[in-house]
Amino acid sequence: MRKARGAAARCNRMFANPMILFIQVMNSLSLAMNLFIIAAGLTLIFGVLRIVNFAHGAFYMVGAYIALSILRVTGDTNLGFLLGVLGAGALMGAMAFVVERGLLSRLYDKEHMLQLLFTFALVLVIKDLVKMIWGSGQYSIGAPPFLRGAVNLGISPYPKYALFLCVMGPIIAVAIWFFMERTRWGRILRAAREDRVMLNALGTDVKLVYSGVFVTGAALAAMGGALAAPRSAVDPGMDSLVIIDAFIIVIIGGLGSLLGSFVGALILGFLTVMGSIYLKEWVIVASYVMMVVILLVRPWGLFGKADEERH
Amino acid sequence: MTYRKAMKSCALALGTAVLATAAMAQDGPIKVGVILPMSGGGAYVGEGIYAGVDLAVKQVNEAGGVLGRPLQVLLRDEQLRPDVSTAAMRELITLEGVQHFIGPATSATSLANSQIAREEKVVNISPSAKTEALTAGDNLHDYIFQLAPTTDVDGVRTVEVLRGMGTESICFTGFDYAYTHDWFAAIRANMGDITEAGEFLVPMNATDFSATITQLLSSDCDTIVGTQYGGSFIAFVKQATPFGLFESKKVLWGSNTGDHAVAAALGAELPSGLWASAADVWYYEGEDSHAAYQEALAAYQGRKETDMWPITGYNAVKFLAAAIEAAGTTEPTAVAAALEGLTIQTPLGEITIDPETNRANSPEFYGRFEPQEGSDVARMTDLRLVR
Amino acid sequence: MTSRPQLIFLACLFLALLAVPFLGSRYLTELAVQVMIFSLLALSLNILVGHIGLVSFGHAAFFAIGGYATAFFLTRWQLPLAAAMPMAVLLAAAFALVIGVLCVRLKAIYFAMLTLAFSMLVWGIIIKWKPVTGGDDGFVGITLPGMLASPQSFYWFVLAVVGVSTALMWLLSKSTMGQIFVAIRENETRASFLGVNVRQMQLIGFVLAALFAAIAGSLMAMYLRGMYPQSAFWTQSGHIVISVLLGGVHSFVGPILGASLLYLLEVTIHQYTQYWPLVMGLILLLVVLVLPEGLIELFRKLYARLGRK
Repeated sequence: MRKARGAAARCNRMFANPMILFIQVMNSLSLAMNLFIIAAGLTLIFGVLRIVNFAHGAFYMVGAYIALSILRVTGDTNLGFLLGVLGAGALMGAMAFVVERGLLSRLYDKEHMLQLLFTFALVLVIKDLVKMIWGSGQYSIGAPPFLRGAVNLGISPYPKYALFLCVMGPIIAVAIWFFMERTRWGRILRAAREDRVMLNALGTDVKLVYSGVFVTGAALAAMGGALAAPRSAVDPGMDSLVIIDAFIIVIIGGLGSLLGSFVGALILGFLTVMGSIYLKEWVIVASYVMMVVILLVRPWGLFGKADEERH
Repeated sequence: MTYRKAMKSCALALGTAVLATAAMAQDGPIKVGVILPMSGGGAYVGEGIYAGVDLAVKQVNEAGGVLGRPLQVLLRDEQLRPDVSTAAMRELITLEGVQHFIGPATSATSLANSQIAREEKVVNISPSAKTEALTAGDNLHDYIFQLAPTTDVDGVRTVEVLRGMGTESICFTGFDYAYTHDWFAAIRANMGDITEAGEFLVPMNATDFSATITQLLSSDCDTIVGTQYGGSFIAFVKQATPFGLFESKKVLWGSNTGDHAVAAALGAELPSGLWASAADVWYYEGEDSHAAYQEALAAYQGRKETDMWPITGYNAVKFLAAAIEAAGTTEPTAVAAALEGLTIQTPLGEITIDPETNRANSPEFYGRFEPQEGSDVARMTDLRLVR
Repeated sequence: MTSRPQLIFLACLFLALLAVPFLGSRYLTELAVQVMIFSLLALSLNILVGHIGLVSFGHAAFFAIGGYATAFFLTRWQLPLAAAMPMAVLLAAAFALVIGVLCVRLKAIYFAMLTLAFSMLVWGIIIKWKPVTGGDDGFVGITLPGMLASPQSFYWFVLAVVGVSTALMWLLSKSTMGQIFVAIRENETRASFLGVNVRQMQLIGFVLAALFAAIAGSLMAMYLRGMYPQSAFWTQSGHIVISVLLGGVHSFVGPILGASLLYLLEVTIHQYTQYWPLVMGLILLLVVLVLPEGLIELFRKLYARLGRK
């Protein structure tokens, strides 16, 4: 029995067996897509509203819990899962609408820092409400029946659900891109991102636009939570685990840039997976080193815009 | 408005503080400070331990209390942060005059609170922390007591179980923190001719284990030993199962993953054949005392399938109550002295605190999860209570 | 808010703090110690936020470095306090110099992000460097200098250090440099046209802020008899930002109000309910919506009303 330890041995084994390398690449992709879905909403909210939404992880968490409850009603079926994901988005979106109309919109003209404080406070409230409604236990949602198990990718089986995420990520990315670039609403959103004053002057109901963006961002986060749930637990700590990654992606990708968060998610996904093989537990330091390096070279992120005097 | 509220709270605190320091109550309830994680990722542990504490306190008070006085629990949330847990302890000492503590639940917080216990000379019973460091070397002092089996003891027990499983080589995986390193070191120290095929650790807040799973799959070991706990264990299982990890390797898990709540959460997704340890198993039918305890706990929790953690809090209260009775006073130094070498009857038999190490010889369950007929939830078979 | 009322407030506060140990409550004494340390921390951040206009999300890094370094120098190297504390503070200032040079090139949100990144890097190193920092278990157990062993004497020490630091920061805010900071916050371009080396001034402000944060960290480590990795985590930085915003950034004493209120709320709420995050969150929401300028707004109104009498 060989004792095969050490990075050199791992490296050898890795490249000696390209299948393993391939699987790890697939792992990086599925993680990246999982993260992208969550980060997309965050970057959208910042792009148009200029708000750093610290409550994004809480929205993600609420989405997972809502899906949990829906699945309890529908049972463990494919339709149930679809309803769970959509329901998570819809319900979280509705709640976000209420929050935005009722509270957040009062703060748009105020200092950015107040909006920050608001989202911080929102996290506290949401977390405790979740605890009140669902308790502090851990729960689990399974993948929908047709996505369970694995497909055979040559030598190693690969989880169907992970593949599903690899596909869903780009689909959602394209969907958002299409919306932003090819529809009227998307054009309005992009205009709001550039110059909201002008937009208002042109007669567009900017308030509605803002609500729409916040709601969409929240819904995306919630759906991200529901979609991530089959690969994780639904428990009270899940928001704090995801918010850091979401922020890293959005920051290195460029706040407000969809392409940036896609690329950023890929970078973080690959770094986390490949990094954990060679750096093992030091990968955590590596992610922050990467963040620092990228920001030093391109402070506005890889695909962000250089100027920052817009309000 | 908020300013006024703050002022009122200040005045209230000031008034209470003055009264508290002016009159050190000799009669009235015996206050017990209970510091546990009640929010965030550790909440299920904290709530579980608290349930056991509360149950025991109710039983003790119904039987006439301790030295004729009822126990009164003062609960504080440690939030898994040492600065918060120490602040809570200090607050309870200075504001409420508490001299006996149960908790906190985890390594870092326990180590921090132990320092306060040493300085303030108050009794501190740790129900669930497994780190050896808590009662080792310079950290050992007269006022700290550790009830959970420490990682060096775990190491010995684990290797026994591994041999029983027919293990010849191990891969290690887990979170990069003290418990992992200590337990693995203890296993390595005892494993003899069992070989190691690799160690694959992940950072503490990792959520994706696919890279590690792939590495484990391609390693030469026949058994995987892991430490990811709670929600992360659930995540690991859900990510690993489709890869077929549990079909190609045997698996033994630490962190008291034999917790029924974990099995209930995972349901049919819990890999059959998973070996784990647990502080308590509700369906164990070995001792009458255990059956009586389970009946009471089931009534308290409102369900038959009770949690694993309550027994740790329960035993802690029993020890404290017995020690105060034995000492004949609540004075902490006397109570601490009484705790050393104390033996009590617990639901799982006799437990004694070793006067040299201040550690208790608490038993633990080891078993192998198998799916049950007619139920979604797996149960441990081949169950043995290890002392 | 103008100088005189704030100065009067500070003087009254100082007198009140002088009286605390004589109230005979150890709980109050230790509570006051915590409030003073957090107030100092908030004041230090406000050099950046309120005066210069740069919001840092990584301020906790210097708090942590100050604390860990103090713990290390006192316990591992057994240095006397008179050496350990200044060395720890200078170490933090050195880090601030390096990090600051890289960060002040950036504006607003990007500055915030880079400071966040750096502080998480510091956290990562603290967590991994177990031999020095104790890793995830934290640095447990400090050799406290004998003269600080009793709660009373520790209190006087903290009061002295925080008092002097506050006085220094007050003088700074009133000095020419302080005026320059404000000028930069108001209009960076105009300031540079007037001959101000903006980057240099921002860097100086950054280092000074870090310096006082490190002093707070040093005091905290001695109070806690240890230091913990959470003190460098981004949530701790967020906590400091919240206390500054809560109190009001555009005044000197605002951060003191914010930090005190935040800490007192945290301490008292959880005595009454397990759902303390909910109550905290609701209170914060209320303040944000009703008092957007921070608590200082309340005082301004009060003072204005008193002035009219």
